[in-house]
Amino acid sequence: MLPNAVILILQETLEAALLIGVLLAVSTRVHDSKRWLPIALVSGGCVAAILANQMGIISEWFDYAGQELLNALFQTIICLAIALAVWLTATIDPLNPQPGKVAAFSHCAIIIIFCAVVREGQEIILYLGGFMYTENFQKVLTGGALGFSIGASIGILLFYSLVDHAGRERRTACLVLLALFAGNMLSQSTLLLMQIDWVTQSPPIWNTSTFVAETSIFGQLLYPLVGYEATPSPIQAAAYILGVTLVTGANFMPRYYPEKKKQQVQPVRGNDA
Amino acid sequence: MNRLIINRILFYFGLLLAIALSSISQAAPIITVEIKDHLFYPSEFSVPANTKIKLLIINNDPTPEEFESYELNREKVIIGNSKAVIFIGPLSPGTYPFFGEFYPKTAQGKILVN
Repeated sequence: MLPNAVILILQETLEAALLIGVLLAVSTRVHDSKRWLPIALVSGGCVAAILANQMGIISEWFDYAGQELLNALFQTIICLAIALAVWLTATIDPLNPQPGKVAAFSHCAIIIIFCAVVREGQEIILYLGGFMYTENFQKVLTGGALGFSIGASIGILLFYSLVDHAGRERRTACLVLLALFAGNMLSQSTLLLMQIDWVTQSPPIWNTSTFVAETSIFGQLLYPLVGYEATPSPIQAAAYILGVTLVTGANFMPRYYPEKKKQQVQPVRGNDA
Repeated sequence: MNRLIINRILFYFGLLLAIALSSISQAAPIITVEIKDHLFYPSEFSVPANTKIKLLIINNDPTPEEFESYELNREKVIIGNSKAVIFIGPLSPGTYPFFGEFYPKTAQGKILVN
């Protein structure tokens, strides 16, 4: 019972932990307060508990499609908020950060982490809740705590390894990770729409399960990191590319379309001396 | 007058479309899988290849379970004493294992597509 709890909670924690790690690394550049993290964690946890409690009713929405629609919505919001956050960081001047944009970045970070915590939190709560009145509860809780700690440690490790690198390298690494996250989220949301038959499933474009099985440790690590799927369908791949393009586009757009700077007329002072 | 006719035509067209769409989703054959004591019943069943299937999963346990399959790319939590619907396929022939992620030691099964 214990190893399963470790793996399950680790899997659920990892995605949010990695996202938090990257966003924290990004936020060191824009010099915002890190207040968004506790706000997102607490509010996300509370909403996850409410949704887990009401999951029976939610599941029955839209002819048993409620759960998928809700999760697909959260994933799409994460993808869009990542694109917005990346656009904001690309336009913020690190030497002279505009307070309005820094605040907007913090709001994006809250939305991203909130959605990630709600999504994964409700599953953790449902899982642990199932063992609540059994003799195994203590064991499962210990295993869960262990899995959670490992997940959190990996997130912290990612944060420090990103912060350790110099500005440019760090920016590239953060951008790549966030773009892959966004692609992963959008691709997963199409998968959920296929599960409820809102999007028609088509045969997979390739099968790499003999190469890297999704059940292998490497596959399990690649899944939350880059959204590894051994047998993706064309729509999933298209959604992935769309998410990646959206985020990279958001990063490079300000470079080609710079904002019009307000003309600052400096009063010319004559040299009196 | 003309607008009224157009509206009426649009209405019937919409109705027809709705019926056509609902008949498409109804066309998928339903297979019922029950969960009892963290086991799937049936734990093994066959479905035709290249056909969309509607899986109706009934969880008779008081605890939640998560239907998961890497091969089918499916994942869904089913609350205790409730049911859930999952569409799978069209699939190419082969064996597609699935399991209950919350109780993977016992909740195991596979779908044979032929």
